[in-house]
Amino acid sequence: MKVKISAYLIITALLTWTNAFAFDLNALKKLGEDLQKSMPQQLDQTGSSTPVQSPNTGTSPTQDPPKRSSNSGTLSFCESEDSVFGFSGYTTTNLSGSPESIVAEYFDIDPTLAELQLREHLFTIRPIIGVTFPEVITDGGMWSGEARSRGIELIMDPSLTTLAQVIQAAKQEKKGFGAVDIQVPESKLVMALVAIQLEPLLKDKSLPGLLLKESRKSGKYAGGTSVKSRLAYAMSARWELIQQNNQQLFDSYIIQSGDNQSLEFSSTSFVAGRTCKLCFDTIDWAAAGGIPNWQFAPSAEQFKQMRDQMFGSKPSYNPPNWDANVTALRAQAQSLNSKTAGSFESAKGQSRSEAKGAEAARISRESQNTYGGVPDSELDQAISIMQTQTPRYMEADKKEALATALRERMVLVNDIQTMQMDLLNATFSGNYSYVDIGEKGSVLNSLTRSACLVAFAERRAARASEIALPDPSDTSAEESLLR
Amino acid sequence: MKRRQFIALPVGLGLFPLGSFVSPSVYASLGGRAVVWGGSGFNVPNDEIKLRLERINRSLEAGGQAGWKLWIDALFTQLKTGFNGVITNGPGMKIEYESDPGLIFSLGFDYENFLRIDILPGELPGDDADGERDISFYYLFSSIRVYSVRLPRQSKGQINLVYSQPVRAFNRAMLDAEENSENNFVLETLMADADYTTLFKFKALVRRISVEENFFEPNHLRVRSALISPEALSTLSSLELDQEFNANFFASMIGVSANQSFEASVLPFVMTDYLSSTLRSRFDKEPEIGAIFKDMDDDVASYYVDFSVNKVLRKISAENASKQQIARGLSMDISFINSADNSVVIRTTLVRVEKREQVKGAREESWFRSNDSLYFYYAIETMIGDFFKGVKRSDMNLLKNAGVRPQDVTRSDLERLKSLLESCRYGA
Repeated sequence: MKVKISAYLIITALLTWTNAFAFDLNALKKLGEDLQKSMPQQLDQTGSSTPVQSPNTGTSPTQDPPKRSSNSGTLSFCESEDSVFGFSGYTTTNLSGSPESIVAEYFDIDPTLAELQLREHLFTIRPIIGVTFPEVITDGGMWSGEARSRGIELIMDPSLTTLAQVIQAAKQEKKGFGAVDIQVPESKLVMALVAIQLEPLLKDKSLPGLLLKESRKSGKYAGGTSVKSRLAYAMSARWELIQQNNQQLFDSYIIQSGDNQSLEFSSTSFVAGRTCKLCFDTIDWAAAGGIPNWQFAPSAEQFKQMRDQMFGSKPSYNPPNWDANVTALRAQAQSLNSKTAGSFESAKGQSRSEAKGAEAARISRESQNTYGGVPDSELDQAISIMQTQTPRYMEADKKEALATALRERMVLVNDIQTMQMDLLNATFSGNYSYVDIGEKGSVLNSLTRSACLVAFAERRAARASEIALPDPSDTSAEESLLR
Repeated sequence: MKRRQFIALPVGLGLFPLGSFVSPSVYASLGGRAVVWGGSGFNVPNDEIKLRLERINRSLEAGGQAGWKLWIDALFTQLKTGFNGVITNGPGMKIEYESDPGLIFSLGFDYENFLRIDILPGELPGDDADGERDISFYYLFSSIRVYSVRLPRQSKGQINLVYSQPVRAFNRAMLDAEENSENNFVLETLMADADYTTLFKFKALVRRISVEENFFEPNHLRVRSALISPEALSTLSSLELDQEFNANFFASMIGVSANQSFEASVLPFVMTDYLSSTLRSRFDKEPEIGAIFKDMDDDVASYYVDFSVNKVLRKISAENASKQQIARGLSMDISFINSADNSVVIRTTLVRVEKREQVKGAREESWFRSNDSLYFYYAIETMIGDFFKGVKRSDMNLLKNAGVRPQDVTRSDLERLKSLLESCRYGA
């Protein structure tokens, strides 16, 4: 299963973005040919099309009932390195000081209102990023799940403590000889993204540029020893163009962001399949006239033609009820999201304000130039839920309801995964247009990302009920600060 | 040094115009040592009333000063019914030249704090949490002063401060945001029929003092110097608490705590001349009689308290996904000084940290601010309150709560301080 998904990701990565192009055309062609050759060996012959049953359409005689994976309540698919996320799980590092002091080094944040201020700025779309923070932090252009997880934790828990973790991780330096783990430069990338989001609170406005420079350094990842972060290059390009008005550096960085570095990785790794959406969206925007008479626009057009010749000549993949199933999954996700949002809001009970995350994000992207960033509206509901701080359920019935919600969420994720398997089989059959498959994969990836982010929020809530705070009567450390 | 010289304040007459209210009380000139109602006003300079005592001022002034009338009437009624002696010269009445008032009662407001913490529907048990009302807290610190008077007739007149009792009223309720509701809530704190009100404390005091008593003047305590260090002020300012947690507040808390533990007479930290000017104006024939009230606000303290708030701390001590544990605390140097020779009787440092859990997810700034304000208040109240209680009971556990460690003070230090404070008790 892992091999199948990974190989599938490689293909969809190449093809997901309708207008995407790469600059190493020879490498792309070779990779495509290699994949074509490898298909028979990698195809799971027992895999069959198992479309999801739409609750609204009834049982179709032409369609098998959905196969659902075992649901243990874990979020293994969401957290797998092979998933849309590449989210490896959150680990904390030892802080060099108090969260307040670490944060105060870089940000003017009122300690009392930190949560409020962070949430306000974290969910606003900044033109330099072009999409929401939850979207950019889950972009496949970032390799390291560990670095990404700190950004996700900050989304779930916008506090000085989690921000201090982001800062502390960004202070990591190379030790000894040899290449550093890609986590080190990408932790600086995460910090740069956070600094851009929190720009109004940032003390040194040049900090993102400095961090992005560090984040472009290569590191070890998936067998490669000089792997570069594609998202770091895309962000550097956007920073140079939008903040510094330097198109020459934009060109240089955005071209490098288009390289999926597939030859860097070990032959057993399929991480090259991850797609840097912001890289290609930015390239598309520039080529489509965002930058007038952009010198690389002809190359982009050449790529499209080549791509269509190579991958788009076959018919579209149109299994029965595909669109209905996608619609049903989307409706199911929205229904579950609404229940979770209502439950979180009622459990918190600290504000008369309505959740304004989705609306704020919509207004934010409508009111400004996103420079090619294409915010994913599928994430609006998830963002709204994430903006509601993790509740702590005291009553047994609410705890049970939360556990049920999490189980239902995993069923949803598994259903999406089932459709991805169908797409995978279609990919390896070689009978369908890869361009069309890429578009369908993009839709499923978007659904997966939204479902997984809400699942993380639900899991946090489930765990929040179990973690006790330390004894409040021990005040010796604080008293020593006062004497 | 005279009090007025020390505080160098402008004439701080925050006096309600008593003349507009004529009490229905009897005016019986029964000779002997009758009691005079002095007045009620503000122990802050006139131009700071709306800043420092905005809620109580607004509530009393509302409805064409209807609150003032209720308040003065309520005070005088308590005086009439509670005092074991003859009451003459109610509000608005001139004191006859021939009359001979024995005692003068007055009440001045020192400090207030109003807090509101937002409550969502269903967040609290019961019907009160309907989403329209929030939990509101109100603290009001006041000083009741009782003077003994001998008018200048055959001999030189004399006016003595018999007792100055600082009192605190505290109230909380579910309240909507209507101004009228807030005004009523403040007036309720002031004079409802309950034991938490300012009026109740006044009533308790007037019942204890008899006109037949042979009055004497106990030692008085007064906060002389109140400093908040730049570092502490900076922290309070960053927390937007510098307006509430000012010198008046700390001084008021020290006064109330000393009084609660020792029944000590404590002069207001800021004394304006609202009382003396009222009394002067109430004599028919000035300046002969009225002149004796000119110096009634002179500093008569036997002991001083000097304090300095050195550090204020507010930090996140721990947190999980849904809650934060916030540590709030402060340190304060406090000295007790003998006014006769300016010698320091005892000097020590108080330290108090309290950790409170706070749920995450609130979206209103006021919610965070109110939590800080409320819990800092509790920390300060505990620190100063336990310090005086610890001295009174010679209890090292209570002193430890206030941050006084065994190595910080000797038993003889504590005995000296205890003796000092007990000498300030009325009737001691």
